[in-house]
Amino acid sequence: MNREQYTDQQIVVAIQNGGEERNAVLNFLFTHSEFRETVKDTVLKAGGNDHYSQFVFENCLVQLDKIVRRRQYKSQNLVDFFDAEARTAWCRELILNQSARETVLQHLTDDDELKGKIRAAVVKNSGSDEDAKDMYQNGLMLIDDHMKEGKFRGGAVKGFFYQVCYNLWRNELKRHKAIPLPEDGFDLSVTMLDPQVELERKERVELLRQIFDELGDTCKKIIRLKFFVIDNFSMEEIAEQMGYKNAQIAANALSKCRKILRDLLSQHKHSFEWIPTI
Amino acid sequence: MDTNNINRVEAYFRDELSENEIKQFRVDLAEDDDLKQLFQDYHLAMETVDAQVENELRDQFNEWKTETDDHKTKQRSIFPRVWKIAASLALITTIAYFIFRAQDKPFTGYELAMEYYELPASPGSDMGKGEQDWANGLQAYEAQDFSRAISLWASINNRTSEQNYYLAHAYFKTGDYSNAVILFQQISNDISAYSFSAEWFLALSYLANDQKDKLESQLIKIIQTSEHPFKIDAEKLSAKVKKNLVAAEK
Repeated sequence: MNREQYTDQQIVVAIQNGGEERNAVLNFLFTHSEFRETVKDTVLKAGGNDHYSQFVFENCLVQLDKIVRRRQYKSQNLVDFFDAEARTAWCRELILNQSARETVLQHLTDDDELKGKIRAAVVKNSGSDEDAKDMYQNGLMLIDDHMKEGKFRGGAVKGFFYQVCYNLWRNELKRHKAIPLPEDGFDLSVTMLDPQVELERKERVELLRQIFDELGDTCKKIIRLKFFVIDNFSMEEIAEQMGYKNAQIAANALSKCRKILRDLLSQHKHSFEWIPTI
Repeated sequence: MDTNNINRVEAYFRDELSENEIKQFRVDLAEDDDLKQLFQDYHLAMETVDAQVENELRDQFNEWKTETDDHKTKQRSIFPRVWKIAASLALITTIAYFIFRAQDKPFTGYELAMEYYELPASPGSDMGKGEQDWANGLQAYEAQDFSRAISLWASINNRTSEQNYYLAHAYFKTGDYSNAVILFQQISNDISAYSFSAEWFLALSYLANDQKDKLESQLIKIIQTSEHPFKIDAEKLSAKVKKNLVAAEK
């Protein structure tokens, strides 16, 4: 395979094959500027900075690796995947990380031109300078809540903030002056991500790492061989790698290790409710 | 160990079951405790491996970052400082020369409009009405397939100002400045969150479409609106248009 340029299909196959091929392709993705710039563009527009852009890019790579290994990759092309995944990863970070939300708020308050546009929108629609300042401040508080509640969808945050302030003013007018303004709003009743689910997911990942560490070396190895990519190795191949006589012995060992994993989870008083039904 | 159950669970995770098989699988999961436990065990094992792999990947990323930073540091120390300063001065001088040359060069309305034009980012599919054409059109817009966005949006009845705004930009990007003018005019005459922006882009559409008289009066209108968010841009553009006309006449 040409290490300088991979097609999307080659990338998917290499990740599923594992080993050095997977490493090479992940390194390619890590260093290739096209995907990194796509993520950076998305995150910066959504109020992030270079530090978070790097963090989100790495999250995107982790997610790509996972969904390819789980045969869930359905994107048309990788650039689209990185763009969409960057929004999701950034929104997730905004739910969980106060510092990330503060970065967005700083991004907004640093923009005097945006402040001017919001002021202009209020003043042009029967408002005063004081009204504009109030809408601006209320808008900042509201957008902070939206980010925490998973209602921000990771698009251009300045446009989103402008709409939030505009809608605040429209509602204010409705309440006090009964002057109708056009509904250019958007539906905030639907959340993109559920904060509770995201928090539980984060805690669960930490717990599962801990549980994996508590497994013995044999179970770590056999579970890794079997479940890294399902059916990458047949039971005969797993038996050979583990030094067992035949596939049946390998299957028995695997079954025991699955039971140990289940028991470890129960010991940590964790239920299986998080496993999605189909 | 039930081999049949294992085969079914693995086929599910390999995404090999048909729709009917998945329906049956779902029913059996609810009724067969052994199958359900096996399914949960597989899910648990996969998520455990994923958590471990994620850890390893992040360690690997840190290694690659360190390697890249080391490589950049080595490159930086290769060239002696004095040569870097000399190269910078030569570059600055060359750029300054071309800037001064370019300022006298007359250019077309289209070129000038493109210099000032900035495509607004997509608002995201939940920020408008919930029609499918609107959502599909946004995907096309985000993928820079403006012709497709137009074909989807133009058919929407009773478009909102927001929808007209993005449609106008799609027309602009395909070079259909006449339709862009019509829509930006319409939005400017309404009261909406897009009124001010539409006034500015109407000016750019007149410029790209070589409608100099209308451009002039539109720029004056923006400049004379004290709180207009594009007042400064309009002043700069107006000065440049006048200078370009003077340079062209020379």
